[in-house]
Amino acid sequence: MLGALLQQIVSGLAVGSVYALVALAFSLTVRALNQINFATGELFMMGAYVGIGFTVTLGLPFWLAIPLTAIAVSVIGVVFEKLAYRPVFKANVSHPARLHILIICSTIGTGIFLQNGAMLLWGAQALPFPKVFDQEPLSVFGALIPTEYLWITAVAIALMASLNFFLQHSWIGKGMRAAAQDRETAALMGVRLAAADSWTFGLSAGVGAVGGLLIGAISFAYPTMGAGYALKGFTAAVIGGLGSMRGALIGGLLLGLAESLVIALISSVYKDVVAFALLLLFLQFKPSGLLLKPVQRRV
Amino acid sequence: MKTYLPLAIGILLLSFLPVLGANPYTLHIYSLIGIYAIVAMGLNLVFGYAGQISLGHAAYFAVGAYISALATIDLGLPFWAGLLLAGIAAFIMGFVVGTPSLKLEGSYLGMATIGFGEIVKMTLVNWEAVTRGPTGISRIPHPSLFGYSFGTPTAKYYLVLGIGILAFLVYWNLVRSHYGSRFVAVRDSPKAAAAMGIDLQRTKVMAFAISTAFAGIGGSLYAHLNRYIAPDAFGLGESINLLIMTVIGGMGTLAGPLVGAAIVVYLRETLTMLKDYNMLIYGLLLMVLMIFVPRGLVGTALLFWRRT
Repeated sequence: MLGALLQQIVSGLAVGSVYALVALAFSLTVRALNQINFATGELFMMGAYVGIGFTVTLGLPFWLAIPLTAIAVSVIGVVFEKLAYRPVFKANVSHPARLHILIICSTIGTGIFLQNGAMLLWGAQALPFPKVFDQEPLSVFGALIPTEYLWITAVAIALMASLNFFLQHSWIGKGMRAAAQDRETAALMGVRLAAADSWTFGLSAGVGAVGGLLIGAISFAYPTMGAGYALKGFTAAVIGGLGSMRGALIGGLLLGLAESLVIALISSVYKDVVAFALLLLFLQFKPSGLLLKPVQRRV
Repeated sequence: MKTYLPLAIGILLLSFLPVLGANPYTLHIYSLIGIYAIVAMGLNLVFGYAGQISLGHAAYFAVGAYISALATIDLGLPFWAGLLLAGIAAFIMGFVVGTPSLKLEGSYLGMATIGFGEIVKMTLVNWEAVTRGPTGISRIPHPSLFGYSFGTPTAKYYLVLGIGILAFLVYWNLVRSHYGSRFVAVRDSPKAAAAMGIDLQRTKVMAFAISTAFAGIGGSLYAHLNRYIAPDAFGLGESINLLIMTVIGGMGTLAGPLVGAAIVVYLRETLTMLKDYNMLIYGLLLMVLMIFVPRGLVGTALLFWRRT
């Protein structure tokens, strides 16, 4: 019993760290532009397929595929920012609420396009990933812990830490944070807003893509995989506080743990209900999440 | 008089549509357009007039369809009772879901409505004793009124047209009314609206609940027209289709929902010719339309009309 529980906890943390990456992808665009990118799940899915492309088709090692996938999907993210987001943002529409709806529609369109593009390119059936981590499972308290889970958690946390470092200390990251806080003032201080937005979309796409690559390593890649992870990732972001980096990590790990504990203690049937219930509870009672301060409601 | 003239011409044209060489297939499509137009009119109240977001309206469409189908099959109620029950049930559910949800704004509201939408779909799949689970409900009776059964596509078309005209009149009068102008006030200047004594929260919830009632009525018609319903048809994809209809037609324009419904239903039917490329093109079209026609087709046409 203890062993099985331990195994569930480790796998929960691994899946949770992938949720954390998706949560971070959501939080980056929300923080900078107060806008949810509804194609986040599909960029995540692209990560899995592009990763298969690098490891299987080109035969590159997995550790090299991680940065390459991140860069490749970031480019896709930037291209879509230029083609689908910026022109809508620029189109002069009378009312901000409408602009918001238009951008939601446009990012949904992007998602539909990517999902069906993947279906055309790689087929609708699930593609398996090659076995990347071929070490023997670790034996702890009689439980066999596959090393994949530990690697996934480690890579995800390392990525988030380095991204945090980039945002805090690099010249580009500082510009992005300034633009996120106050666009007009940042522009006056010499931050190029268009560049900051491109970096935001690119980083968001790249982070999500690494999530897709990592989950692909213990699962399959298929064109519709994005929707479920997007919902879980968004839930994780809301739990931690949408827009917060640490919140994304904490929310992701908590959601992953909650799911695996429900599987271990109750039944796997209710696994997907956990995320919904938590999402609705948090939206209703604590929409600012665990880490952020509640926003003053402006009438 | 001037305002009623286009309406009268429109109704006249639509009444003669079956006579102008329509076959059962095209009549079915016209009826579908009518049904979606009813749902989109309701959504336009939320999106266009009240400025709020819903990404879960397929759920209320589903509730209307299931309530009406189950009322006529399991309870043996007549069609009109099923239709009314569908509208009322969807209204109540919209009110209950909307009351907590509409405290949220923008994307948060969008995600909350997705959450509730998925819960409804999960319930339809898992509550097999009542909903028949994933296999859905088949052999739903033809709609009938006062002993007359609307068995033929032509008869169904006229039924949808009749109810559609009624729905349009309700929607039109609501938008023009004092009450409807509250929606716009809440959208455009919530501060001023609140200062004038308008209860923001209640106004948003009412706009939402009225729109879900429209969706419920549309769902009931859909169930009896199609005669088969299953949970799969009422997922997030359908909610997105409903959203797209409203936006492509033109948010906040009177005729937008009608045009949007016609275009989306038509596109879905014709794009199937492209087989595998079908949805790819759909996604691309959506992106292009958001960039080049942000006001929607009716909104852009109006802008053009006023300039010349």
